[in-house]
Order: sequence, then C-alpha cells, then structure tokens
Amino acid sequence: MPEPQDDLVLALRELSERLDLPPGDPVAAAVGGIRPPRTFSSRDRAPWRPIPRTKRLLVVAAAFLLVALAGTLVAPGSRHAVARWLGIGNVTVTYTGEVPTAAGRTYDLGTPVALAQAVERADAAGWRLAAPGGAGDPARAFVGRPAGSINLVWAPSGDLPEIGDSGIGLLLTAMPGTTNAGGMSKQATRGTTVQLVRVGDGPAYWIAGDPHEVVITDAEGEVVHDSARLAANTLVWTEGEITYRLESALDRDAAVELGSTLRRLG
Amino acid sequence: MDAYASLLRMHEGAARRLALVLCGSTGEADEAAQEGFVKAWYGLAGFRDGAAFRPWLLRIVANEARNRRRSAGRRAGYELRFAEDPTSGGAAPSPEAAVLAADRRRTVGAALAGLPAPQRDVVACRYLVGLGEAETAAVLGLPRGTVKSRAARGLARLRDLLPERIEIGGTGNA
Repeated sequence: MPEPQDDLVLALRELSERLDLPPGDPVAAAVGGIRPPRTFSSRDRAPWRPIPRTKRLLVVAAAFLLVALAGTLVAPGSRHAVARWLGIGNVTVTYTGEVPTAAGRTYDLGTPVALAQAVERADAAGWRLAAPGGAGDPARAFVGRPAGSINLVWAPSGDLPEIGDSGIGLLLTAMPGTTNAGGMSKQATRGTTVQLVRVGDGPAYWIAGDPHEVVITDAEGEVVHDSARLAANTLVWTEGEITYRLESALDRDAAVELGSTLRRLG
Repeated sequence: MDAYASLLRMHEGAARRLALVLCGSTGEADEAAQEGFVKAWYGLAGFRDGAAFRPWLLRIVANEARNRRRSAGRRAGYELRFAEDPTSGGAAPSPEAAVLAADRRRTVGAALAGLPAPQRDVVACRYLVGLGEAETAAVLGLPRGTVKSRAARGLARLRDLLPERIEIGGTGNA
C-alpha cells in the first residue's frame, strides 16, 4: 500500500530535512570510551534510503505562504508585516518585524472590582472564575478588558518577582471563549520564542524572550489602540471554555507549575 | 574497534536523529546516542545471529533516549530546533520565503511537542527519522498494528494542535 503523502506528512518530512543536530561526534566519543578491543562480524543490511524532496513540497510551501499573507489582512495593526499566527483560545500570536518602542508598560486592566464581585460577574455569565492556588489570594480584580474577561493581580512577593517596574508580581487574565468576547493579539518579534508546553493534560504556549506587544481586541473584533503595552513572559492555556493567560517574571517551569494549581474561586 | 566505528558511522545519522526526536532535547540527544553505542558494543554478544544490525542498534539508542526523557520528568520541555534555509545560492529561497518556512517549521515542531509521547514517538520515527512501519515497530518494541494506529491518531491529533490559521491543507501556485 502506498505511503500517504498528504501535506502534513510532507511538512513533517521537511522538518526532518532541517533537524538541527547537535555538533558533537557521539561515535568518536563512544568508541573512545570503550576500552577492551574485541572483534565482531557485521550482518548489516543496506543503509536507509533518504527520502527524496518532492515537487509537492513547493506546493505546500506556496500554500503556507498564501495562508500567512492572507492572514495579515485580518489584523489591522500588522498589515504591513508578513505575519504568522499561533493561537490558543482567545489569544493569538502575530510575528511582526518589530515591536513599537513607544509602547509603554501600562496596565489598563479594566474596571476595578472586589474579588467577590468578579466571581459573581463570572457566575452571572455562566462560567466559574479560577486562579492558581499556588499564588495565594489575588490582591486586586478588574473586569472588562478584554470584553467579558476578568483580570486578577497579585503583588510582588518572595515567590513572585516584580514584572519590570510594574508593581505587579502576577497577572492572570481569564477570558471566556464565547463569541461575544474579545481577545488579545500578541505582536512578537523574532527575539520572542514560543514553546508548546503542557499545563495539566492540555497544551499551552510559553511565550518568552523579548517583550511582546499586547493589543486588546473588542467584542466586534476591532483593535483597541489606546492600551497597547509590553508583556513579560506569558503562559497561555485553556481549561474548558476559558482561556487563561498568566503573565509573570517567573521562568517556564515555575509558571507551568503555578498554572497547574488552577482552582475555582468562590 | 575501527570496524565497529565504521559500522556505527553507517547508522550514525539515523541514530542521532532518533535520539534527538525521542529526547526532544539537543543537549541530551548525543549523550543518549553515545550511551547507546557503548551499550550496543557491550551487548554484541547477545546480538542474534542473522538479524539486521540497524534496528537492533536503533532500539538500544531509542531505549536510552526514552529513559533519559523519563528521567528528565514530565515537565521537561520538548523542543526541536531546525536549521535555517540557505541564504544564498541558486536554489536559495527569498528572504521572505525563508522566514515563512522557518516559522512553519517551528509551528509544526511546537505542535509535535504537544502530542502524547507514545504517539509522538511513532510519528517522529516514521516521518522525522524516516523509518518504515516494520522498523519503527522493531525500534520501539511495539506490534506493527500499534505503530499504524498510533501514527494515524498522532497525525490526526497533530492537525488538531496546529493553529487554525496555519492550515496544512489547500493548494496554491508558487
């Protein structure tokens, strides 16, 4: 039966051709570390035949190019850029040429409310607000940025280093994945890395490196221009219909561990 | 010893790729391959007469790589790195195409990291190392039917993990 040659398989084989092997010489290292010489007879078979590069790969590359270029029309702020997206829940990542240096580290998180009110707001909308139990109780709660979302803020502490000079140790944004909710686009430069990790049993993105710009999108899908800000290391994942976005100065493992302690409030 | 080194050289590429895609860590991969080569040397006495050397060697390397991954713990990141396209020469893509291709590789690589390890191992052996179904079964110590089903489920899950706006299907003209 012939081998399936769909586009995903071709994309994987393209990965294979570009796998970046470490620069070492494990054969020399292994043989050099084996002391007692001995003889053996090889009953080896013909070596593996390399996979040929096919013309279809060019078609796949062209398809990706068209998809990516078409996508730049979706995000008004990045029309000038050749962009790509990674997406989880309500959060998308767009790669652009550069992040505007004028963007300030301001945190317009919405309307401040008591934590109990934030929990009630989520209940009324049909979802349960949750927060990482490992961080203790949040210090502040805000609603409405993006639409339908709740932001929880923790003060810096021994376990939660301050994010830059923001006065914030941890910021959690909980965004219900309903059609009338807004979202976030994160515009990152090539100095920002995106890694797929796991929080609990689900996939999550760890976005780190150079600060990336966060732009809030309102319920109608319009980009809100007055609240662009630079973000620190961010973990994004979903649980049920809710997208969680955790911003902190923690490293990846600590952020993943903290995200894994998510539990319902109220 | 020279004969053993020569034999290893014939399979070095496949063994190092295998170690890398099973470990998911550049730092661990060559150490796993090296340890596998050493263990294979000391295990030659148990090598079944008439069997193929390559799957036997690769299975030892695969076991070493998976043991290292397990030792690193469940939160250890799985991250493959990919070489950039050549930036000059007659066959070199345009800078824009090279950037997109690199981004696509990172995206698919990141989605691969999101697969459950049993499915990822099979998909990686089949499509990143280039092993056939039978050889993948031998290397991973699985029945051939399991390799087939895990490969199918792995590819399906991979499609789910890829962002919607980076579509794998479709056609286009260059």
